[in-house]
Amino acid sequence: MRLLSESGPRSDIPFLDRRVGVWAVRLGAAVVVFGLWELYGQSVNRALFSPPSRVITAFFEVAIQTTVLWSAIGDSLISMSIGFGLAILVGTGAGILMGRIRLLEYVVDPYVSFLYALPTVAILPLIVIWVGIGQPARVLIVFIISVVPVLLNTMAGAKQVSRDLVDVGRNYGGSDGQILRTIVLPAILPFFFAGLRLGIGSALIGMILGEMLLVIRGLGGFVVEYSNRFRPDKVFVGLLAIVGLSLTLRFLVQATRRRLMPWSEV
Amino acid sequence: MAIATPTDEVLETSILGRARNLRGSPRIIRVGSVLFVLAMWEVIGRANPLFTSYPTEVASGVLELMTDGRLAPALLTTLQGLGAGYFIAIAIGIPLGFAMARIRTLDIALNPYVAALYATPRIAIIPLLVLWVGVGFQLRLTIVVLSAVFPVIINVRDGAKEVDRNYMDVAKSLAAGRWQTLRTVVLPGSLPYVFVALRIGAQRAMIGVIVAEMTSAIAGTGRLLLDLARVYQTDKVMVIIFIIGFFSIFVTSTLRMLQTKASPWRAESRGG
Repeated sequence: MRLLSESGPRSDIPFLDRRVGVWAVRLGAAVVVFGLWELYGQSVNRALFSPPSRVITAFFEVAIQTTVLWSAIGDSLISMSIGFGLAILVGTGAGILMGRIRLLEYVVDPYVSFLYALPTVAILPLIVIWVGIGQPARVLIVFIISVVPVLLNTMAGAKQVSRDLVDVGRNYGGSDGQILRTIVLPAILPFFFAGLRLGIGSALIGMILGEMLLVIRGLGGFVVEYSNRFRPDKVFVGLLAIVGLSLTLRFLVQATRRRLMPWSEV
Repeated sequence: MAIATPTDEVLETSILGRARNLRGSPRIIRVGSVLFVLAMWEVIGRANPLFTSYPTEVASGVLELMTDGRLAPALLTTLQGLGAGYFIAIAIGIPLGFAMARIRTLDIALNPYVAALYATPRIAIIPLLVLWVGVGFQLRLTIVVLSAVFPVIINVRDGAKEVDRNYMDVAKSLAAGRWQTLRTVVLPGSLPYVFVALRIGAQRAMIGVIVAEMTSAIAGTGRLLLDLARVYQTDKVMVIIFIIGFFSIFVTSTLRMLQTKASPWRAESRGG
């Protein structure tokens, strides 16, 4: 990708390294992908599958003529934000403590290792026992699934903070609070953001899972309901909305990361 | 690398590196901690058995589950879908990952789709899959393939691209052919990443199959888990969660062992 922005004699740059080359290939691929999808979609039962043309019509129905899609997205976003927000708070706090305090790490470690390996979705039935199948359950599943990667990555970050830097801070008479704020936290940031990136993926899984099993609402509910009504065109709209939401949230994480860590290249 | 900018792979190794250090950590604290938590769990659990059950009850739950004949078939059903789907995902994902790393046209053409699908929770397609393939073996198979194949492709591709440029240049200046370079430089050089891909793929596959069974399949471990929860058999729910957790640990550590065997020159993976 770096080559794309470099300017040089055009003829020296291979076609595929030029912007126009990349877009030509992408366009060609898109024509093939969507063309095949359309052709195949026209040929099968419309209760089971939809070509892009019908998906676009369905999009107009649920997003332009009515606001069904937007309220589903809003509904999903609210419970996901609460759950993931709590996961960030708890995960970061606990992660820093566990990374900086040896004893705490040893004590909690067996459980954290287990949680790391466990496909956390398996905890969902427990949540049903604890809080039933209402709105709190939906937030709780997002929280439990996404807190693990945030916590583990923050902890990994807190552990790798350079001793030398901390010693320098102490030699200059820095208090614990100062060292935490000016040395430890910035050193943890890259790991924190990596945790956020993984966490957002988990939070989305928790969100969809909760909406398919606990409260049939939001985007997950949207997909379930239109599947039950044999409306694959609208299901595809829902799925594409989930793709769009995932990409947007990931983009936001990356953008925040770039803002808070201007020294990072990625 | 002046500032650590962890990728998924580095994180994976740093977390696992931590797990490896654990063996050097005071065993007495860990054992003490586990015993303490078990004791607390027993005391609190007895006060409110519905909530988390308690260890002695969970232990007897193991026996009950084994004898009532529901556990073994459920596990077997899940494993069949998981195994077959994972195999297909690897068979597609590894070659495609290498191909994308080595053939630029293919990379440019496919990357937007692979990256978008990788970033999206694939479990959302389950309701539609039910319409297409029903709720049996094929549902498990399809969701496992969909869950595992994209992380495998992405990680293999990134790994094969990361292969040290210096080695590539050496191969080139010694006039190694395309195939020779692939076999002697790219494949061994990206082996650690392939194993990371296999691990992440396995984890995603397990998530996929459990969710599919909970939402729609009429059999399997996920279904059993949810059925037990609906009748508040907390002890047995706990047993199955532990089985799933330990199975996952078993798979991950087996893959890590194979990794060390396959690339002994990199026994200590980087990162951490």
